[in-house]
Amino acid sequence: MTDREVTHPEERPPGYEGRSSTVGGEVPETEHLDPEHVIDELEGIEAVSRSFGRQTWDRFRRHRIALIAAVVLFLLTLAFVVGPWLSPYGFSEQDFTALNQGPSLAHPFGTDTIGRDIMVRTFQGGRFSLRIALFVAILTTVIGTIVGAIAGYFGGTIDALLNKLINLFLIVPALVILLVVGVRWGATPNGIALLLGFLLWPAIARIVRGLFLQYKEQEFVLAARAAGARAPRIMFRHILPNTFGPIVVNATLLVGVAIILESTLSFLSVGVQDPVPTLGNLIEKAKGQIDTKPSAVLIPGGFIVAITLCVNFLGDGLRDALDPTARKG
Amino acid sequence: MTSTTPLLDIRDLTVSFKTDDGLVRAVNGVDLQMFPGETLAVVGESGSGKSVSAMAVMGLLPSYTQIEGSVEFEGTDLLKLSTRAMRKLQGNEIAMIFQDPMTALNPVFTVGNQIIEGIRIHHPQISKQAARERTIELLALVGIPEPRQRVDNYPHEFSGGMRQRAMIALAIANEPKLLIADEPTTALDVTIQAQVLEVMRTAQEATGAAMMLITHDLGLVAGVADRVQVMYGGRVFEMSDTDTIFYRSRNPYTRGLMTSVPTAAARTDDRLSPIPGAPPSAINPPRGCVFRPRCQHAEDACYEEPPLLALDATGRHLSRCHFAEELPELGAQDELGRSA
Repeated sequence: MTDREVTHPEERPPGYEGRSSTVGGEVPETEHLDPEHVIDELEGIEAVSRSFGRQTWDRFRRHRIALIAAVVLFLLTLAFVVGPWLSPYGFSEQDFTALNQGPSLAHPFGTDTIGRDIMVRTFQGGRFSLRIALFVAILTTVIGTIVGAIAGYFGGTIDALLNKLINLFLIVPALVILLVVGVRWGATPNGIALLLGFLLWPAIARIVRGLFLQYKEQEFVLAARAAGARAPRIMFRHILPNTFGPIVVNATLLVGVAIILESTLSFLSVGVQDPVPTLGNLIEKAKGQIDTKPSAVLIPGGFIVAITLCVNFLGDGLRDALDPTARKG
Repeated sequence: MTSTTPLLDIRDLTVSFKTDDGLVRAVNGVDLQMFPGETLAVVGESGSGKSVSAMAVMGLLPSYTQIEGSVEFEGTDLLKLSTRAMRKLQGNEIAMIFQDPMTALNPVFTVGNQIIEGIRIHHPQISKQAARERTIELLALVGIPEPRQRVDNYPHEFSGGMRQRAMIALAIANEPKLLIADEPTTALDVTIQAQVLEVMRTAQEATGAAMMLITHDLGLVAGVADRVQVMYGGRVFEMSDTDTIFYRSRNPYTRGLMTSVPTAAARTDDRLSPIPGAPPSAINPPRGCVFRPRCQHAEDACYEEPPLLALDATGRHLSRCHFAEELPELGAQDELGRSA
């Protein structure tokens, strides 16, 4: 090996110089730069999401049910946002000349026992219910993903401790806590959302933890480490995008769970209180009239079912769309 | 050994893992030197400690691993570096090509973006556009057709051979001084293996990097390596230049490796002679020489005393065997070392 020609850095083959110079001629060979700087650079991430976003959209479009669900959900949201504003009635405005009416031209969904327009109350209630649900889904996903990612990626003692915490939250029956809080302090839409968020995150955390345990053993994670990437970068830039599918599906499931839990609370009379409407307490108010005026129960109930179904279909479509290895349709 | 100062100088490296069954000593006092620009093949079967040694150099061993000895890269002991300082070398001065190109690329990012990221982690001042141009050049260098279109493909849109080419492009993106290739062709079709080796040689020439080629396939080694280091049971068993290993091996294990490989040149009535037995336990290694239970030349001395890695008379050939000088000449086995 002594007589072998050794290539020194100064006398590298000519091709070497040529290639370097085309990159602006300023490729530093010895200068080391802090790898962390690049994380703050959002340019690169944009480039990823643009082509990724376009491909995701192409795949999503082919998922017909999800596309319909997205449209319906958009229309519902629009109705909830614009409806109360366009309506000639306020949601707590009473009309004593029209008590407990069935659907009519003036009141398409009818009126309740104290003369309030059920349509404006349904839209306003949908607004509160959907807001609670979205807030819960976002809160649980963020908390759950961070906790799950840290537990799964680092493992060991950190994982053991976080896992204990996850299990502790999992065994606490959410409904009981909600009942106690509701009875003792009363419930507001934001209060319920916050509470649900803090009670429901372990479901996401467990899923994310499992996914991270699985993905951190993959060779591309080793390859990322070998390329000099830091732990947060590996966790959130390399592993997390691989777990989007299950996370999105579970987040959408939680939207349904949150709407139903909120409705349950209202139905048990400890949820958001009259006159503030939610889809749940509208049903609760009308439950005695199920025989005489079923529309008062069926309409808000139908909205709950529609929202929950649409959100779940949307989640299905997103899961498939976010997986770049899925067939290109 | 040589006047050049080594690029990589591993001294007495010992790597152990704590398991429920006891301490697993995966690497046991390994010495290894690499010089700038050369290609060193590290050969051995599964469990010989070759991959673990490479992981130790890359700083990829899990934190609960016990590592002793020193791994000096350009005079700096990598084992003493902080994670932060190590990260600046990883993928920059020392890069790795992994065994399985199917799993070593992240499925949710385009191939191009992974190489661009590899460049910009270490050189954030290079613009995204410049890094992209550089990536396209790299893909062209490793023989990816239509690199300008292919740069936006996802890994699953590449074939196995193309993915390994992309991995090589990623590894040489920052013009490392040391390339570690861990079984780079094992997961590939035989027809692709030679092409990928050729690409690796091109990449090595373009960057002037030294390459550590880890493999269990001696045939692969013949055409590309300058020197060969044979490992067994976490120890170095033989080390010399490639020709010496192939034609004048002084170690029963190396010879066993060569005779257990089928060759196209062999006659059909020739029988392969596999090495009997299984690799030694890393928890309870056999007494004396670790290869003794499988060695056809073993004598009492091999049971009494573990052999040392000793130089022969030429001073350029190391072998760990009590009977290194007494072994019969290779003669008839010459052809068994495949020439690539």
